[in-house]
Amino acid sequence: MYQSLITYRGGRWFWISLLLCAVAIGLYVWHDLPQPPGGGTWLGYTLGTIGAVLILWLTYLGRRKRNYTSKLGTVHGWTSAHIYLGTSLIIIATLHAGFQFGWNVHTLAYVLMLLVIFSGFFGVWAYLRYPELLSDNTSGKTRGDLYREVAEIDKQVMRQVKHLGSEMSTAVASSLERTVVGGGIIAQLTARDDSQAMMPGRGLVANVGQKPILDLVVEQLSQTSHREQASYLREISNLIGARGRLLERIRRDVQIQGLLRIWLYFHVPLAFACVAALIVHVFSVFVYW
Amino acid sequence: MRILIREIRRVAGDSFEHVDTTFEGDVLTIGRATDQAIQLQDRQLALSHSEIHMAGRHPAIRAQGREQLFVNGKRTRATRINAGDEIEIGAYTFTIRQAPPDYDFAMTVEVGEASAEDVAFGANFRQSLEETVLSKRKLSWLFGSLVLVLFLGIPAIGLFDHDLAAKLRELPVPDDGLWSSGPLHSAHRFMGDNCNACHVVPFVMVRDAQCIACHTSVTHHVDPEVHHFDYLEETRCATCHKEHKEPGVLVRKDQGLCGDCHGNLMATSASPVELYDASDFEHHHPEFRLSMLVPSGGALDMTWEVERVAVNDPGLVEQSNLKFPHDVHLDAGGIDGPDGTVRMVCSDCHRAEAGGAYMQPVTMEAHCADCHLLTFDPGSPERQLPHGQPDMVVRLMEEFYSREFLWGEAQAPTARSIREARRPGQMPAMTAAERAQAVERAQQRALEVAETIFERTTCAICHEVERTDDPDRVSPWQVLPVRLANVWMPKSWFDHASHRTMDCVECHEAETSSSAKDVLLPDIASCRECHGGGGATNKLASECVDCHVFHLRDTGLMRPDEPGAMLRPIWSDLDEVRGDRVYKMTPVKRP
Repeated sequence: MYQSLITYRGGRWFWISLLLCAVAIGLYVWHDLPQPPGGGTWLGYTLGTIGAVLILWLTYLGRRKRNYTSKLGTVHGWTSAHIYLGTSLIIIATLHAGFQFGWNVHTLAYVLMLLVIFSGFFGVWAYLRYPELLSDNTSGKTRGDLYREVAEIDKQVMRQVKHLGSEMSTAVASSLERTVVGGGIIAQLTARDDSQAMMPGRGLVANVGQKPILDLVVEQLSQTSHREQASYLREISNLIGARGRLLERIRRDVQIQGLLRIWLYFHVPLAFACVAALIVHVFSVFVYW
Repeated sequence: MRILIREIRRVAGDSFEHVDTTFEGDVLTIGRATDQAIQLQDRQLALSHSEIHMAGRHPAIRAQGREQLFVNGKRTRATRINAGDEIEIGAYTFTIRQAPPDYDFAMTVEVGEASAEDVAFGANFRQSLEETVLSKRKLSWLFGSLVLVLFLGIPAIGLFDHDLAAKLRELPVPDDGLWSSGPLHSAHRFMGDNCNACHVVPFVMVRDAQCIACHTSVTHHVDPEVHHFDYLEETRCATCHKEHKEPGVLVRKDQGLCGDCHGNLMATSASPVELYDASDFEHHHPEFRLSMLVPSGGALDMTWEVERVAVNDPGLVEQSNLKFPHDVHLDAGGIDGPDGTVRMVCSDCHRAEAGGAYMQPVTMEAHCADCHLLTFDPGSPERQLPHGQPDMVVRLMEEFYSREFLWGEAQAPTARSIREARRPGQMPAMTAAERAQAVERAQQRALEVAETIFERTTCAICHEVERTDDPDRVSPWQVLPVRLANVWMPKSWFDHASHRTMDCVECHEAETSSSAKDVLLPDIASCRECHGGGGATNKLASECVDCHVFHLRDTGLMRPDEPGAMLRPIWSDLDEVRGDRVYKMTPVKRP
């Protein structure tokens, strides 16, 4: 049976992390010090060491997942532990700091760590939500399948288009040629349609959702009295409509795939910034002991 | 129905290969599912797409469900098929051929090149984030390096040279101030942002020398000349005095500061101790001990020693050599004074020092003399004796009475009896014998009066008087010296000012004390009515250092000459060996 990252082995890592947090909070409440709590107390050093080891291990997931096997469990298990132990860092690090924050490298490391964790939360949410959206959108087909369907339609269209006048055939053919999917970061994430078409008398214009070209074909259809011509135009309009819907699903596919990954472009670089800040934190604490 | 099926596959480039199979059956099924007679490897096609069957003598094709197919380029759902017809299903092209012998017809199945083209159509687009300018690796390097350079690399330049560090702090570049874990305590903030004022050597904890450089008068907790103190040998100033904390707490106040050792001194101290264990004011603290002054010797050679006596000791007696009944003076009905009845209150005599912590000494002149007049001759109430000088008292009275007798102004009958009547306008003429007699009588008179005031009245009301008959002294009587304890509990700290809301008698039972031998100090139980230990929740939580101090006044100065060491053992031939350790106890300079 499939287990999500959240419910992996009955939420084993959830309970382990919860226990870790509970012990940390318990010790924090129990330990009575002659000084305000912080990294310099025995509990501060303990929690700091645990936190640093956790951060390094969590970062190592990026390396671990490239290995096919490991003696230390599956990537699935590692990722589940990654999520829960990473979340527990919020508690561990906050107690380590003893709620003392300021404009310094120590709080910088803390803030970077929180950014990494919260970008990770978006990742978890994305991994739980988007795969379903993906398969709903493509009905279980791959993007390649969708493209083959588009190509199939294109072939049909090109067959029909031969029977139209040169102006119309140029317009329709250009709409096929100048169809665009994806593009830059924004275009991908917003499913923006940058398609164009060469419209008679208007030159190259935007062909968003294949609607302008469809409108043109339908307009032609309403104007033609030639029966055979009308049947070709009707066929083309059907095909372009179907093609537009297919392209929409492809763009949505690109969009969801992008959203499924975009957080990693924050999560991973911020994690390295966090590790760097952790090095600075440890160095600066001991250089001016 | 018997059909020859030839599957043509493109091998590489323009070369093809074909596989022939023969189908026998009523219906030839075509679709993606594995149970189809012709399985199509195309996920966009339905599991069961179409089927070919015989319609009479002609083969016919029929789409399943809502599927569509194209025959000779025409969309259709069902049609007869003849030799030469091309059926398109997805990327597959089925071409019907002339029937070979023993077959109903033949059919070639070809996967069009379209598949490759289709993929190429999609491949032109940038449709994953990896294909954009974004790069996890580049961003990771960028972010990580930025953090390292800005917050470690640039500030660390200052580690090699303190002057360079100071320059960095002036420039608008990152400096070691970013490494600070919290603000300095306000008492230390005058140092500004100069980390190196305390942090001298990288990776070495702040040394005591840096503290003592300013705090030159800080004293030890014990006298290192007398005591060996294992516990403190590894202790630094910063062990107790923590900096860069929020909230800033420079002075350790918890009971652990004292209780770690004083909770069980015998276990923590190598040498025998005379101190009682204590670790919590409410639950583990001995009864108060007072520094009592114990006199010895007589009026002329009295010395005093300090003896520590518990407040609840039955033998606790004040030996101040003073007579003073508090109850008489505090009588609600008042006490007779020279100008009538006086109602006295504590503060008539006991006045707080400036600062309010302790009380000013009570003196005869300031507090007693208004009522206790030192008159000696009822006829001369304006004449008063000097206080505190018995010889002068006797001498003064001799002089007083000599004048009376010699000048005949004494009103006493004895004086008059030796005086002859004189003529008006003439001084009485006395013979030498008469004058000698007068002086002798005056001396006698002075001694009579002195005996009265020393032994029965004026002096004796308040003082213990001893008749010494010392030939070197004018006065045969001497008053025993009075010494009142100024601070009863010198090993602790008490602030009267912070107890101002209370009445004096709530702690000092003066109203019922009839003797100066009574010690009117409260016992620990009295304090515990309000004060609990450090962890008290239903009383005023009182830590050890609320009453006691760590840096005691009568110990030596901390040594500024040994960085990082308060009482750290150092090997030396001259040092004292105890157990397996060698201790060097450098004599300290007394302030």
